Amino acid sequence: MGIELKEITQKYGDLIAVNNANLFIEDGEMISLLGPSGCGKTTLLKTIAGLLPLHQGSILSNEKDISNLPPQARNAAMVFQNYALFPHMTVAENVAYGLKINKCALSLIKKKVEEILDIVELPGLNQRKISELSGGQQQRVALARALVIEPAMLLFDEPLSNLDQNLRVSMRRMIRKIQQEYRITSIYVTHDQEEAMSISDRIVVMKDGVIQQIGLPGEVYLNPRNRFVAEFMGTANLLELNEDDEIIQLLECGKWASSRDNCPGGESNNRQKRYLMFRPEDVEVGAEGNFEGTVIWHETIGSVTRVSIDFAGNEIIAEIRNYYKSGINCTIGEKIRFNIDLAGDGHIVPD
Amino acid sequence: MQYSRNMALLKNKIIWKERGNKSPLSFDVLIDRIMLFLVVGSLLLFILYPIFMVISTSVYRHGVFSLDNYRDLLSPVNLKLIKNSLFVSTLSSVLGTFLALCIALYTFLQKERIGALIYRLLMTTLISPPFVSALALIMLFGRRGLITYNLLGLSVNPYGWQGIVLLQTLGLISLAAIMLISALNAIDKRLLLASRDLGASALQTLHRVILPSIYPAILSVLFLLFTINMADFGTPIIIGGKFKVLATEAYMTIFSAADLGKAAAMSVLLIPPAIIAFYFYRKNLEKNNSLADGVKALGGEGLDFRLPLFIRIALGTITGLFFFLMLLKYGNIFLSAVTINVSGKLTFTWKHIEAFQFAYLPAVYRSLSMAVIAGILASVIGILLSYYTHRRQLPLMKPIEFIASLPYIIPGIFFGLGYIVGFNNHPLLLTGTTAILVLNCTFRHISVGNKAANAAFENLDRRLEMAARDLGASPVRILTTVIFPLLKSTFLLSFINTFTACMTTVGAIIFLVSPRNVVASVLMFKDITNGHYGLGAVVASVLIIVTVAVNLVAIKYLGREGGKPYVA
Repeated sequence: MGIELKEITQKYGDLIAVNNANLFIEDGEMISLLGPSGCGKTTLLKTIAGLLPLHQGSILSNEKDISNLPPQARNAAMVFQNYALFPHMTVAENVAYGLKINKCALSLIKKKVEEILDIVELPGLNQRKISELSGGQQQRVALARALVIEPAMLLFDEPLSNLDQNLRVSMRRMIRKIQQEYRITSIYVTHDQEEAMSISDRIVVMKDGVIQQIGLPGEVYLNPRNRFVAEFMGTANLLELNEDDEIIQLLECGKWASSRDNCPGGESNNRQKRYLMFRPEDVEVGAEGNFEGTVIWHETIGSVTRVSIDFAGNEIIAEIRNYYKSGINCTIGEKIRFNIDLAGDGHIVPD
Repeated sequence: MQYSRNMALLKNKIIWKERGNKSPLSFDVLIDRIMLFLVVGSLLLFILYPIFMVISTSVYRHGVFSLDNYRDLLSPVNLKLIKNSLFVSTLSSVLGTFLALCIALYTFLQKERIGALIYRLLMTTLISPPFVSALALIMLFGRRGLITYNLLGLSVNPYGWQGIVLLQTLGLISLAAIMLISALNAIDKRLLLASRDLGASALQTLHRVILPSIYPAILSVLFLLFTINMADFGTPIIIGGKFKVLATEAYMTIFSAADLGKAAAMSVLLIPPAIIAFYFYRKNLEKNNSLADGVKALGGEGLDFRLPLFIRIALGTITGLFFFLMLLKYGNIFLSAVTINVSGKLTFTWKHIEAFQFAYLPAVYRSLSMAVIAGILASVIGILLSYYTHRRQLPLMKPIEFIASLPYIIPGIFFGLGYIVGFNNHPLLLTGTTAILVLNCTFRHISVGNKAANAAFENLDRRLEMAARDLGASPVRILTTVIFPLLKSTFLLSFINTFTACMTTVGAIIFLVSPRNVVASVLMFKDITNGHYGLGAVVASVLIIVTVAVNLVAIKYLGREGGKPYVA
């Protein structure tokens, strides 16, 4: 089921939670709404689910207006952040809830509950109480409860944020696999860029109720449309550009200076701040580097070591793979040499 | 992974029955509207209207607006009554609060299991028909008292203000202690740990941290006791002798002089302290609404918290003495039911029980059914009211909720009077029926269930309802499949409170009973005031046994497991 959001605005009192959001989600696509808390992503999700009345705009499903349909009529099922499992029911009763409400035959309910618990890898737990399950198991019951009513659309509201890191990784893999297997149109709300990048076909980055960028994970990561997206999608080096693009001169990379003309808002409005953006992995530390800076700080987090380098008054963050074996010496206060790989475009972003 | 099972989802395809094509005014929505109408309508009719009637009765004399009833209250005789009321109520409330605080502190400082035991005992002593303490006092320490006369050979006169203060103090200690224990439990234990860690002794911590933390609660309890004591007319009638108070006089005025205007004005005077008490209660104690959750006594926290020996001994003695008196009280009731005092010798007798059998069984049965029905109705209405007010946040529900809390704070005598003047005419002629008793009891106690439901809803994740809605459940379905099952413990709390109160109440319903619809507690009151102590003791025993039995059955069937509010 394809979903189209047209000029959606949602308010809580005077507070604008979602401001003029436009989005098209293709049939079978999984899209992430990504942003910090309070950016309106959950509001948008609940609006699509029909759990919040629509303030302004319209929602189309397969070109049919569903803006005013009640939640149960939208054929969407939601997976909640804290699972929202009914604590007074068993696993099977939870999963069967939607089927019972919709007056499914009992024999069919039983069959479908078994099937779906198999799919989410919880066979044999039908009669367990919810309180007897681990967090990961609870999340899978919540997924099963949503899947079993065969929704045309799955809505995920930060479903993994209550799980520990390892479980998150395996659960998101399961969600993605099931989603792809059955090609269920899905919207996935998260504040975790790693999760968004790994799970979705496209990412919608939001801030203060406004959609900042919509794109493939790689696009959003490498070609952020503004400083916020650049920083939210991962660690970013953002060197502020002045009138003369001094930094660009310094870094001797005039060859893509022309790309600033493609920078949104960059061409005409000189008053808006612009930045030269590149990721830490674009910086290559080594004795043969063209530039020299001073190490301000460094920290190793296993596979990667992050080095902050002072370069002509700018802080540049670099990543060194396999630091312990690299033979590179990072000592705070010492000089270090590096190169910056600025292939591709989109390196100049507005504020 | 079993993903290759070829679209298992599609194997058993569901054929939805008209999923989502419901018209906006479906059957479910209609039921929802009807329920809302019933809740709001009944609250207006059975709470606001009678209250309004009392006030309007008090300002009319012979059909003309006048403040004469109030002016009469300022006569020297009545001023004396007001002074008496203020005197005994203040004394009993201060004493009661102080002793309750001692017991609460003692409980709080015990090891978990002992604390829990004391708490249970306190809960049990809440189940006490009114005036049984008065009965026990007279029978044990009166002119012909078992202890004073038979054992010690004294003839003590228990009648007078001292008797009233003693009984009112003892009568409310359990309630006050339970409220204070809740407040103590709410203190963050880390504060005590921090205080000890910073070098304060246990006594200093008590003085600087514990008492200031529960100061608002102490104030609330004090005012609550004051209100209840001001409105108490039974104890002064039985034990006051020549000492008269305002509530007694209001009661007498209704019965003997039948001057409803004057009685109404008197009971209106009882309102201001009630309002103040309610204000404090609302501000401080509303959220400590837990049912027998046990005590999170300090001893269990592994915290070294030893007060000086003499304080521990003092607290322990007060607590021990209180429970000893309670034991004496209950023991005396049960003993008095089967004995007769023949010239100083206690003899076993079936006399009282035989007398009870013939005349009283229908009344006990009526009490029981009245209390059960009222318990269920009050709880359901209280929960629904909370649901519509705070969950659905419908407009205008906040004032309605306030109205629902009024009967709980105004004196029973006032509320009872409202029913006399409100429902003695067509088309609302209810006087003399059992229905009026049930209604009075029900609407008197909506507030308990309502407040408990408010607290439960705060802890009940909204997303559960969203999930149910998202899966296709209608509002009524959500109520029946999600909310009511999850509020089982709230229902239990409200039911037990209302049931117990209704079984033992006299204040509000004494004006509403007639020989046709008399209930056990009122019969007992009349027996005691007429000096039939043995018979009164039988009724009291039966009331205690029945109330405890129903409480146990309710707890067993609505149990705690699964009934706890779901906390996200």
